[in-house]
Amino acid sequence: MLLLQDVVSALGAGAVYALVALALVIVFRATGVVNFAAGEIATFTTFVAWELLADVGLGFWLTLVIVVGFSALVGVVIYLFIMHPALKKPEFVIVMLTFGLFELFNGLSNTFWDPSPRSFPAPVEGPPIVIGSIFITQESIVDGAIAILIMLLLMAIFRYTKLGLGFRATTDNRFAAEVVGIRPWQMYAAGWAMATAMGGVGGMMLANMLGLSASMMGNVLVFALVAVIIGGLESPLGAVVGGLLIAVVAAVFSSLSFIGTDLATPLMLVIVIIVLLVRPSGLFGQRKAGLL
Amino acid sequence: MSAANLESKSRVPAARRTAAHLRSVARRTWIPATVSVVLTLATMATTANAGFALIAGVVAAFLTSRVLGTGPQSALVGIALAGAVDAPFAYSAFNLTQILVLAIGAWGLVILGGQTGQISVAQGPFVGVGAYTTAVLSARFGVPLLATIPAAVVIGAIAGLLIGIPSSRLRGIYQVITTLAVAVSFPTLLLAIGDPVGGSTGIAMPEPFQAAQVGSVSLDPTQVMYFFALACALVVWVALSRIIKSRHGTAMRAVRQNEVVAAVNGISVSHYRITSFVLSAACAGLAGSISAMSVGAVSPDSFGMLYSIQFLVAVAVGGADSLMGGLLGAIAVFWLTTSFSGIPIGGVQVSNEVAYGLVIILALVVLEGGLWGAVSGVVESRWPKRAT
Amino acid sequence: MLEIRDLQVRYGAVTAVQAVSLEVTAEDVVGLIGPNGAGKSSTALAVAGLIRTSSGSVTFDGRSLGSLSAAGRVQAGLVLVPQGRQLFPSLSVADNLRAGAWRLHQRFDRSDVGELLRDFPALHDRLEQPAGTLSGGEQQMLALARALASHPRFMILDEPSMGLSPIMVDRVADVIGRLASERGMTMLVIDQGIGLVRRVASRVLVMAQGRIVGEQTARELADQSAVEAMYFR
Repeated sequence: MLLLQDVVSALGAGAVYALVALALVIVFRATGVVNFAAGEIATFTTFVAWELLADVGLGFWLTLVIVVGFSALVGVVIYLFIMHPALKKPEFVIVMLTFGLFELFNGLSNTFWDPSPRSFPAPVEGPPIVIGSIFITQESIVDGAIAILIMLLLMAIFRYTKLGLGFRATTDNRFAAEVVGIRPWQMYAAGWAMATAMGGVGGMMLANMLGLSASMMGNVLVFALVAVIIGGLESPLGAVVGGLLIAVVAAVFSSLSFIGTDLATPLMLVIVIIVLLVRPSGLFGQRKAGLL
Repeated sequence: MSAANLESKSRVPAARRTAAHLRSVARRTWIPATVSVVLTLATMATTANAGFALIAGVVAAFLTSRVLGTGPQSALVGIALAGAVDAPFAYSAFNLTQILVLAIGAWGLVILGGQTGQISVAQGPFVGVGAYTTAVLSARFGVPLLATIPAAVVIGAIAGLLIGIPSSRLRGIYQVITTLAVAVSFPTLLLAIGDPVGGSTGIAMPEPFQAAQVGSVSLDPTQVMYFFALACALVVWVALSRIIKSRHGTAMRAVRQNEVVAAVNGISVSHYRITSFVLSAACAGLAGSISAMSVGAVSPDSFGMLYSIQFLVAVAVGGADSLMGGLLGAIAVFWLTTSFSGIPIGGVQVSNEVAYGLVIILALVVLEGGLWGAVSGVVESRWPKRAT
Repeated sequence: MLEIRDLQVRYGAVTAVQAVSLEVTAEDVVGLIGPNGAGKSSTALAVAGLIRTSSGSVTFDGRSLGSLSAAGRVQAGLVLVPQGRQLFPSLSVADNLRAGAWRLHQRFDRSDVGELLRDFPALHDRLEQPAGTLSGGEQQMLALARALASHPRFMILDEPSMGLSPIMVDRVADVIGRLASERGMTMLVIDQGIGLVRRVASRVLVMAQGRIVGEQTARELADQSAVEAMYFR
């Protein structure tokens, strides 16, 4: 039963991984770029949220809405001033740009705020729900629900809306997108805005779980990356499943005494390598031909 | 001054032959370089003034390359070497050694990225492998420090092979993510192994060198360490240059350009991709060994993702296509990550990470081919042209 | 409807289009042929707003297009069917059509699809199939249909016969002819050879090395040798 409790508790963390993973998937599906700075940008916007909550005294949900808007704006600015000018550069340069953003936002967080962790409120207050001998915190339920809602929203946007069609068309054939009158930069900017907004929500969830600090996203990024690898870079559903799966697997590994928390990350790495070698586009991704 | 001066009318046939011979011999970049190094050291030894020595070296490089017609790149190399040899007398030799560590690691990425077009965020761990090999062998098994170097290189290469075999089968973003996972896992792995590698406190090592006296110049231990590192760096430079210029280099670049075309032309894509990983990790192993010896200690946190990013930034900012680019990038990265304790802007102490990030972004967005690409472009266009 | 004056397109030091001038009146179909490298595609791309011109003007419906973006031109009713089709390979046929209707403000639904595919029966059964899996001829049909989805008034077709078997070329020519006769579509049809163009165009311009070097009416086209002479000048 202890094992089951670990699994259930881990689902809260899984929701955070899922959200960051979703942010990665969005940016990738809309722009073809993996944003390695997703976590650090989210940390920064969460600090801003903290200011709104602690110094300005706004309520949680209002803050959430404002931060979503602010994050989207940050995403657009990043796209317009940094990613757009570098659009035609090789993949390596684009990857390095996101590492530059990583350092930039980490630096910004460290500049304006004290590095020691501070507490961050939860979306709901209240005692945990008990089912049998399993405790489920209310925050986990809300977090999980938000993650699933966002995932469904994204899937709907991609499949049913004109914007989603624009995303898919632009990443499929950018020239053809221009031919039919789509402005690729608008798609990319929108993709970044959505991704950063999502990251902002994930950041607020994580701050509540771990305490808000400039380094809180440290491990999350890797777990989120592993989640999208397992789930496929193209699939929102895969991202969520991957995120939850990773959280559960990490929790299981940690609770097995002969592995312990220390080895969870390296073991994760081995799993990733195996998955990638067997199915290079992830479990949910589409097969792409390539040399091996 | 030009070679034409050698051809005076009364001795035309013999002088022309000598000049032509000299020119063909001097086509090798190393002659201006050697001349400039010798002159720098000589001036330093006689005047004990680092500034004069540098000027002497720079002038020697410039003049020799003009006289022998070896071109702008050779002069730049000569100037760089003069600077390298002169630097420990003007700046902290310890810092310079760290720059060399970064440079050697970056050169590994020049091979891996610039030649075969792969991206690895695992260079930090590979350097760590070399560093820990040196640390463990010397502290736990009493192996003399310098003797641990070959072991560090070999074990680095083995690590490169182990990681390279699966990583080289991945492309683009998947390769980045996987190598990133390696980088994040490495410190954790070290902690998990625990005591044999010193656990979270790491391992400490004795000084590798003592003070030395060369002619009238006295060198302190850090300066001796620096010159040793410089010698290692030169060996690596020459070896890698040879590889890059050989047909193996051509094959690697073919793999980078278009794998299908390379394969169709009989080049074994997987062979070169894996080998470049091994080579890159071997460089990292050497760098790690030097790092361990000069710092005197190793600890798990030093060799993770952020350290890997330093090497990537070095080649991204400096230019991945050439070794010189890697060197420039290493200097830039070192300067950016160590010089500020914060920049005061409007009353706020802005962390130097912000500057680091901004410089990376600006350099990548604005520069084509990194710093070296920009610098050599400008130099090439301004170099006084000889009529040919 | 479309007037091009002294159009010049340069790629760095290379001038692909020298000083091209041509006119297409409403409901007319004009052909533009020429050998490889003549600059025909560059002209098409420039008129569609996908590449920049270095000088010259393009007037559509009496209005100078200036630096109007490609998106703006699609909005104005000018659309390109690009060389090589340039479909969205992983998107379904239906999605390709929807993408074509991107600039329309009204919703694009099933009935629009039906109306659109009136002339393209082969695509009816393949609505959910990824465009990349279609045959060459079907892809060309889809490219045409996608362009039609934006309710254009002027279509530029760049090498519609490329890579197609003679039977398919016939079918494509039929469709283009029907577009002209039944829908009154104004078109500029660009191709390398005379075969398809001769069947649909009222007059044909010949382009070589960036310039228009000759013009033939439909009747004159019957005389092959005159065209050839112009081709190889």
